[in-house]
Formats: sequence, C-alpha cells, structure tokens
Amino acid sequence: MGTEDLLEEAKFELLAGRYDNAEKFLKRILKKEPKNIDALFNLGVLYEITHQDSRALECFNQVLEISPEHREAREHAENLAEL
Amino acid sequence: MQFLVIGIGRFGKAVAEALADAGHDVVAVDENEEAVLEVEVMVSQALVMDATNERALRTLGVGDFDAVIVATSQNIESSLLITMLAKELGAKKIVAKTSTLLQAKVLKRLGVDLVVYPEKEMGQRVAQILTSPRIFEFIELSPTHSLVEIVAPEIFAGKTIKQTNARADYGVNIIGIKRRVPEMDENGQVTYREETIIAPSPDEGIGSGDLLIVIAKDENIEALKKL
Repeated sequence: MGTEDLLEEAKFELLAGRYDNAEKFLKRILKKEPKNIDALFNLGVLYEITHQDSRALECFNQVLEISPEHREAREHAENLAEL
Repeated sequence: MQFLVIGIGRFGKAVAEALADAGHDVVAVDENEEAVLEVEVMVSQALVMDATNERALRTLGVGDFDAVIVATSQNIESSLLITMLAKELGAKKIVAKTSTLLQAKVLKRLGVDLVVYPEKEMGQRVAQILTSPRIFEFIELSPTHSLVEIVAPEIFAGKTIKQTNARADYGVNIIGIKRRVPEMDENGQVTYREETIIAPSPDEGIGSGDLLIVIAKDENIEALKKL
C-alpha cells in the first residue's frame, strides 16, 4: 500500500474512532518516511484526541521543525502548551 | 449578589475578577493604591482603605453584603482583626484565606464560614497531576474523597458505564465524560471538537482516550490509576 493510501486509511480509522488501527497505519508511513508531515500531524491529532498530550505536543513540534509555516500544527502546539 | 473583597493580592484579585465576570456587584478594598487601581475597571467599586480601621470598615455597610472575603493572609494579625470586625459588624458570611494551619484554626474559632487554603490546595493538585500523567484535574472534596478527571482505563473502553461496574467493583462514581470527537474540517484535515457529558446515563459508552470525571475515595482513585 502506498503512502497516500495508508494516510487515507489512517484518517478513515481516526474518524471512525478506531485509534489503535489509525496509529498502526500512521506508524507504517513514518517507518518508511520518518519526516512525513501529514502522518506526524495526524498522529499528533490522534494523541490529542486520546488525551496523550505530551506525545501529541512532540508530534506537532516535529512537524514544526520540518515545516515551521505549518499553521495548524502551530495552533495545536500552542493550545497544548497552554494546558 | 453583592460581595466585599478585602485585600487585593493575587488571590483577592482573582476572586474579585471571577465574581465580577459572573455579573455580581463587587466592592474591593486594599491599603495599597496600586492594587486598587489594578482592579478598578473590573469591579463595581474599588477603594483605598485600611480595613483594620473599624470606623472605615463600618462606612462600607458590611452587613449588606452577601459575603465578605478576607484575602489578607500575608499579615496574620490584620487578617484576624478584619475577620473579627467583619463578624461584629454583621457580616452574613465570611470567607477567609489562610496560609498556615494555625491561622486556619483561629479563623474557624472566630466563626469564619469558609476557610480557604489556596497554597495547600494548589500544591496537592499539582502533586497529583505531576505524579500521574493520566490525571488532568484534581479537587480535594474532603480529607477522604476527591474529584478527578482521569483518562479512562483501557479496560473501560468500549463498555457502557453500567458494564464497567465502576461503582460496585471499583468504588468510583462517574459523574461526567469529556471526550474529543474526531471530525474532518473543510480542508480535509482531521480535527476534533470537545464534548462534555454531565451526569451520563448508565448506558453511555466509554471510548478509548475519554476523560472520566470521577468522585471517589482517594484509595479507590489510586486503584483506578493503576488499571
């Protein structure tokens, strides 16, 4: 399965609330492409949804290291840093 | 309602601000002019006054307020004197801030309705939150019971509240659920919205990563953390 398909599957599982499955798909992408911004961002959202805030913050910070202009990642990171 | 806040330090200011924000009439007094100027725009009236001066305090009509908040715990003597004067002048309800156990005992003897110990309470909350990453909020309700927000244990995920047997098996009462519900935004990005269910029905399901608002004995909360 290609990166795009894996990401689609991950988002589908995330929206369905099947977080374990979504995490597996996202980690498969990151194993191949450790700096994949979409996978890192969605993994951050997944951790945030499941209240694993320090892990989520780590993911958003990684996105910002790769792409400092990523507005959503900055918003999520700032929101988490405030808590 | 009408409130009189005596002492505009960090605590007094926070109480005055919260009461004013909630739409109540707040009169705030302090000896320090700078402190008074800081809250002037927030409250109904802010006055520079030495509240240990009985005559000055009398002019405020202490008995007309629904509650008097004595927030001058830095100076124990003046805190006790103000509390005593407020009581003599007919305060309906007195709330006093304290920073020591001894002061708390004396304030109770003076007939204070509620003694608050913010440093101690905040210290306990921070310690609880720091020592357990699964605890998001901690409020001590009594020496034996607390209210906490805790990430739902994995064994609860996918079950209804009734199916968890939380009360019978673990001695915890689930009084609310906070969850982040995933959704897709207009750009196709997965995001979430916050949802809080207060007094959930026994048939409400618990999802992975939900935050449970729980009231329980402290020992039962400790056991829940380990599940």
